[in-house]
Amino acid sequence: MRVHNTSIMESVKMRDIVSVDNLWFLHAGQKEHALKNINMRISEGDFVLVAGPTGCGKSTLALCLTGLIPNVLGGEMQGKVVVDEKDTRGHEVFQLAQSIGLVFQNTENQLCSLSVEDEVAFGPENLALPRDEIEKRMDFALNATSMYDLRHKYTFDLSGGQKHRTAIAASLSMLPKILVLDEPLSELDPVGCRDVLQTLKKLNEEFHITIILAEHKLEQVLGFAKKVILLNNGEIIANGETSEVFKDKKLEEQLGLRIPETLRFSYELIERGLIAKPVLSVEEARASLPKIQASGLNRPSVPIHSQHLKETRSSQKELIRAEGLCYSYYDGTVALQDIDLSIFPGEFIAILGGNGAGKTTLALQMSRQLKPTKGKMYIEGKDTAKLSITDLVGIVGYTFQNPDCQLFCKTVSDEIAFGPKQLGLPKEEVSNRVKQTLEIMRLEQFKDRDPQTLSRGQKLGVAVASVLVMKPKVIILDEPTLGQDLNRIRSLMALLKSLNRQGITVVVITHDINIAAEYACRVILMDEGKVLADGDALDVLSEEDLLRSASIEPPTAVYLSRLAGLPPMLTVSEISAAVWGTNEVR
Amino acid sequence: MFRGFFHYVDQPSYVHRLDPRVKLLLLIPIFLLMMTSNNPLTLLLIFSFVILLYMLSKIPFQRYKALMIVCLFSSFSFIFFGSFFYFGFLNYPGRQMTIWLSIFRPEDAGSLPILGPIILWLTEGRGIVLTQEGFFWGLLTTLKFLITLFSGNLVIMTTKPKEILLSLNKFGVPIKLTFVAMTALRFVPLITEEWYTTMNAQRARGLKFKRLDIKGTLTALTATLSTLVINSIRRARVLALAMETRAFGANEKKIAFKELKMTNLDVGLTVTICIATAVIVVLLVLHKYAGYSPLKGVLWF
Repeated sequence: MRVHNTSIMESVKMRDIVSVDNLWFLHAGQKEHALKNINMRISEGDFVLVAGPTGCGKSTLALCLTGLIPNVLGGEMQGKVVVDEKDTRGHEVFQLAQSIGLVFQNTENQLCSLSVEDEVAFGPENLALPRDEIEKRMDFALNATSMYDLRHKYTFDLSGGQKHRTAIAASLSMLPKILVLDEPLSELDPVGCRDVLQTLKKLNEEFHITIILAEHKLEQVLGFAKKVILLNNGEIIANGETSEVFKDKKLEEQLGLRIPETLRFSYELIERGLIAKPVLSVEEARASLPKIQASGLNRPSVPIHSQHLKETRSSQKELIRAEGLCYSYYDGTVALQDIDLSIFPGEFIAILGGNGAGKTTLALQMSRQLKPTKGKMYIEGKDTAKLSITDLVGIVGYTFQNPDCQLFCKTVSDEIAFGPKQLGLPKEEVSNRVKQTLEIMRLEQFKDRDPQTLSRGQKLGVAVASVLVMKPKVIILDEPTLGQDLNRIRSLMALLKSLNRQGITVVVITHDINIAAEYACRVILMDEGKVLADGDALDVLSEEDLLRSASIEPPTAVYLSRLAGLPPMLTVSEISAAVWGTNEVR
Repeated sequence: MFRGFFHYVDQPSYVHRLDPRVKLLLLIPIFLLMMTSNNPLTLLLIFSFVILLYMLSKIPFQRYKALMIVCLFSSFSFIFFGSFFYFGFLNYPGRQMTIWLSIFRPEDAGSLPILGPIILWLTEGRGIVLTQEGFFWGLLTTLKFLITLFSGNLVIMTTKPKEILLSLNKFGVPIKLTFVAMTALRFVPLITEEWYTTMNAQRARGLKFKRLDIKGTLTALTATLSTLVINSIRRARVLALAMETRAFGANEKKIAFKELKMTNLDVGLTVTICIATAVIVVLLVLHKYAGYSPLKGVLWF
């Protein structure tokens, strides 16, 4: 009898809650299919990661699963999608929504109510459920996402992670059995990511909700997901257990996935026969480390970090200098406190910190979009309080986090020509500069396109080009790597590096430690409007406790090198170079 | 930016606890009196009543200080322009305007060669004079302006937006319309932020808004607007899909998780307000709809 029971349990547990058969989808007005012959099964209670480069079809798949395709959005769909025994073709979206919830990539735009509570109640209210049922569901959704204490807050007062949790709660109140999340982590800092992932884990483990997570930033996700589906160009190229799928080393390059540093390191270990299966999380890496040491990992005698780029500060005058700079918003919120720093020509700086640390505010001060409320900011020795934004043309170039907002011309070449035209340069000079910049940014093939029709990465490229064409001495980029896959990030950062070598000062604002570790020479660490540390990248980034106190997870390599008894190193390629003498060192 | 005024302020107070419908209802007699009265003292009394409600609602002065300052400036211009340029009372038969001070009398026109006739033509032959009636017209307009803004703002500051919309639904406004209002409130701060970003991006690329270059300024503004519109359309698309997955429009009726409940106090106030409104209407009808003022004769009108 008992055996019989467990087998029933088993069969219930193993039930395919999502099944997709021969799914093809063609967006209206496009020639190539966004999804090609997708076949997959997802069992109840799974935690599945759908990964792939930008434009691989992740979002389209999410729309198909929730029935928005074909019920709401146009296009040509072939094949069959069955979710919780409901065929998406024969059911209304709101019926399907009670089986499968969707959290969109941009949380800001999917929250329609003013307060958290109203947002969560929105679905059940529309279903016209009895009032006590609505309340029950709200309590469940708010508690499951730990948003109960924040339920009276306004949605626009929430942090990024909290907004995401609100969106998840709003989906949960429809009591779905499956939750699909489209790139939930791309705009969050490490703390926000952990926040959302812990919530998902709790939903998965305690409430047996099947989680389908579409993401290309795998840094923190891989430790949570049980299964992985890899998509490329609308096709499934791998489907299975996480550690099985990631055995293939080539995936990273091929798909532009940002795999965890630990995984990258374990490829080295596998190659040398030290371990059999890839290691996914830092915890696992730590567990396998004693083995590495036992296998005779020789310590290098020369400290590696001497090889690190240590740009000597030229004796030139500083480009930007802040003295006792403070800034508070109109409502009294203090955004910056007593900032003292100097930026010298030719530096490559990362301003690092969690969401709300004051990074952007500082950068806006550096480009005179804000004036200090106390203290001084000097740009080339001139007090910004006495300058206007236009006085900084040719000195400071600034790209905003959201490329959508800073592009306003009809074609890409118009966009790039806008600045030089304002300067009143002769026509030939303008067209020369535009041509040059198009070439540097490799945007020639888009020069007659409307910038708003480009992809996010391309838009960012146009934004950088439109700033670059003004020949600034310093270029400041606010979170240029958000929502982009590895290959795009690499080409952008390589470009910045080469500009830097030509003498342009580069300031990158980021919450991504790996970007700072891989590219910056100097790191300014910020938290709560203050500069916590400012110095050589290696010195700042190996302060593990300090980084954690600023809600930044230290680089995996620093952690690994410490455990392995090596001097601190910033990337795993440096570690392997130190240990096995392979790979190039920067 | 929009958090200062026209924004809900959470405070434990009697005014906050009132049913939003009562608060909206209260606006009816206030506006009725405000629109029909031409007596500064009556209007001052109504305004004091509104301010009293502000005090009862314990909204810190800081929150409506900005509004006060805006009103101060507009009051000044109402009174200034009213005093010098309002001659509406001459349209009533038998009315005279009392001149307090004359800066440019029609007789003086001859002594000023070109300017004189121009001023006369602009002021319809009256010259520049400060009139008593004009001054009071400015004062009345100011008070009416203050009452409108402050009483409306009181409801907004003491009632959660959702509750205002709910009570509007109860008064028969369709759900889809109030939903539009809610999303507008939700997205206004975002859209302003985006607009500032676009303008700053233009300026950082060397655009100077020159005072005389109207064409250039217009082109730049149109460019920011098209960016804003494109972004808003993108946003609307996501919002529409998100709402679709949350059953918007699945049922004709919609249940609100919080029901508006009338307390005894609310019922009492509703009755009082209705009676007061009725009295005002009756008095207005008796006095032929216009120019009624309970304190008639105390002042000049």
